[in-house]
Amino acid sequence: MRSASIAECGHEESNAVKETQLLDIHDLVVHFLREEQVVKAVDGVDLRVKPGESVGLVGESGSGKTVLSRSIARLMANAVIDKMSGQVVFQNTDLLSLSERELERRRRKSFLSMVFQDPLGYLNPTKRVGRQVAEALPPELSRRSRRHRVAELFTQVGLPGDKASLRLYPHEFSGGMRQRVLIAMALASRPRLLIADEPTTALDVTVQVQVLNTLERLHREQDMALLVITHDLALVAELCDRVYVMYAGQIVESGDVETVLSSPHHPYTQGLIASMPGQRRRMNKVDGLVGSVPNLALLPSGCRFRSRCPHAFDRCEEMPPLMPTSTGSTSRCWLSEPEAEGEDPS
Amino acid sequence: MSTRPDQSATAEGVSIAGAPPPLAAKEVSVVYRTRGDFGRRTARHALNRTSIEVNYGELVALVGESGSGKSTLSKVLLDLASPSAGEVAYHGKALNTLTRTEMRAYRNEVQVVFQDPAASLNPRQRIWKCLASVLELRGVRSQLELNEEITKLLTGVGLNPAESFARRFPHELSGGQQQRVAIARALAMKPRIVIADEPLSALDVSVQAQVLDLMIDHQKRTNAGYLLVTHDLNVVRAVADRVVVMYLGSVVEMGDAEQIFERPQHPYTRALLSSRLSIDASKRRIRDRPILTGDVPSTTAIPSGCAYHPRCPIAVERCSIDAPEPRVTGDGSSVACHLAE
Ligand SMILES: Nc1ncnc2c1ncn2[C@@H]1O[C@H](COP(=O)(O)OP(=O)(O)OP(=O)(O)O)[C@@H](O)[C@H]1O
Ligand SMILES: Nc1ncnc2c1ncn2[C@@H]1O[C@H](COP(=O)(O)OP(=O)(O)OP(=O)(O)O)[C@@H](O)[C@H]1O
Ligand SMILES: [Mg+2]
Ligand SMILES: [Mg+2]
Repeated sequence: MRSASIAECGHEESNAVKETQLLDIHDLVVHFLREEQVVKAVDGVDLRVKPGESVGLVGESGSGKTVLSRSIARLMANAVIDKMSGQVVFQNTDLLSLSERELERRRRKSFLSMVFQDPLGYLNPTKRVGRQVAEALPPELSRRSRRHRVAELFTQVGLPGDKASLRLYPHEFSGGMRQRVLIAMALASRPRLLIADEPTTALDVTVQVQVLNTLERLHREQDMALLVITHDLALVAELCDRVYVMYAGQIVESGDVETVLSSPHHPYTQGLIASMPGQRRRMNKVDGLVGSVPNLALLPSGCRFRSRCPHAFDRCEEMPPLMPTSTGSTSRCWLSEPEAEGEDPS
Repeated sequence: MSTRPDQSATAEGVSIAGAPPPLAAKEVSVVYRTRGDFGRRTARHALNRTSIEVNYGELVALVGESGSGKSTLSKVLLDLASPSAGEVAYHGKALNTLTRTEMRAYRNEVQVVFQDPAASLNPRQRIWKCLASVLELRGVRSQLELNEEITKLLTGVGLNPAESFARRFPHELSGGQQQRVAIARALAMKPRIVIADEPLSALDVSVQAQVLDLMIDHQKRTNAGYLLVTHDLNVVRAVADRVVVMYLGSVVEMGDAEQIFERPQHPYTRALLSSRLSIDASKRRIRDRPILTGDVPSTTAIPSGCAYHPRCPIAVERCSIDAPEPRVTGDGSSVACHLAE
């Protein structure tokens, strides 16, 4: 019931909510087993992406962003999973209920692509880059159109598309160029949704702008939806329409990017924003975040941000639900209740 | 503490007008020779007649594209790489002319913090031992004194309770805690100059802020000189006094931080600054940003003339022929561009 109210927040849609979502994650739980302890990496997450929408997922290191994004495509190699439940509905099919084979078939065809956080590990050092991109194309294409399409993809991501460049090996490219080869591979299938986990963290600022520009252009021109995972709020501010803030396995705040960044409700979001160097006046220590994400195997009861929160009070021993705020966003904090905001101790 | 070449100029850690800077690189060049395809030898010109100085009491930020030579320049200043031309001077004296005592003073006075804290700490050494071995270099010997100093250092970098952290091994600490130990170790030598090469990039945003505060606090308190290598322009904006911009092995612009951010002169500096993403979503969106076309040219084939000319939007014919020399402009900054006023 709670989740329905969030989905409808600010939208006047008469058709069923399900139809309008490209990706609809409902109550996703991914718990690992590590040294006989349960690591609650993703713990009851709801997240939605509409066709053609650009959505950001932010949070500190270890908050569960990568686990969440990888579990969408069920890429959890070698993980000892204690519990995995919920639904990941993509184009009206629950990916979690598909058989391995069916999943693989869809991945190949497919409308869902990923760019991983540690990209260089995903390029084969002994294969020419052009060949690697070609292998990501839909299998039914003819040889000639494959070659043509590879050159086209290279130009799209700002790489030289000439024959000689396609014949280079990954190590002959700079880091920024290799990152773009991976993006070209991810785009090869003309996905409806691209999930990019820290797509530009390893890049220079000037190259970063180039890569983000490319993503934004494809997003706009080909109506490709984006789910961008990052710790950089500025990147989200410039690229995304909506944002989810994740903390210790849960979504703690979500909403329209401008609203969330200009009037954050959750103290964690407030802390994240205050911790950004640009937001801090010279030598003027503002209240950025202190401490770090708790051990996901030893989570406290109640609000998980409690121990780091400057506003914590008695009620925080009880876990707050995600609730609508006065600005139309949602926040998992007792102090975000519209009627509670007057008494905000800050 | 009493073995610096020029006592009068440095007694209080203040640079006196006219005295040579405590640490400077003068027109240094570094060429790495690597084996390319089929055993062909290629030369990488990592630094090309680069000059920089660090004075007491100032925080100099060194920025530039990946591969532009920032780490190489830091290593040269730390005597961890030797230049093929040019020299590094400590209080005006070239490193290779320092006496043994002066060399020791240099090694004590100039300290480093690297990017990867885990790699810079010995995994088999408890934090106590790691700091003790540095303090011993400074002549602290008795167990009592060591304990006292180590507690002070760890508390100073916010690792409380110090006794508990001192007993741990590096792997029992988080990345941010490891980086603080690395800073504590650098500070144990009571450095007057600290060179920090991307000290924040391995850390989380919240931890970055803490580590940055720690260094700024030390810098202000002790009036030390800092050279901070970073790619985060928002950090530079927040903390730097002076900014040095590198491109492909050369310094293209340097000056007062305020000036550089408000009135960048070199086209590369402008491109760099306009790539800074802003959290203020109402201000600017990625699609409106100008992009720098073309990739960084390789250090194995540096373009003729101005190294930036193939990517420069305002280049004229001369730029591909003559290499511009750095010139001091009206506001005291220095820029290497034919077209800058
Ligand atoms: N296969 C696994 N087995 C056990 N624990 C895991 C596994 N994969 C991830 N974790 C744990 O899950 C938590 C969330 O990790 P995740 O990689 O999703 O974080 P993240 O938000 O992506 O962080 P970062 O910003 O550093 O990439 C971490 O505590 C991590 O140690
Ligand atoms: N040990 C080495 N052997 C050969 N070439 C090297 C070596 N170290 C650096 N280089 C080359 O020297 C140039 C400058 O490298 P450097 O590491 O100083 O750049 P940087 O500005 O620190 O880059 P980044 O921002 O990526 O750290 C690069 O072209 C690099 O490939
Ligand atoms: Mg991650
Ligand atoms: Mg470097």
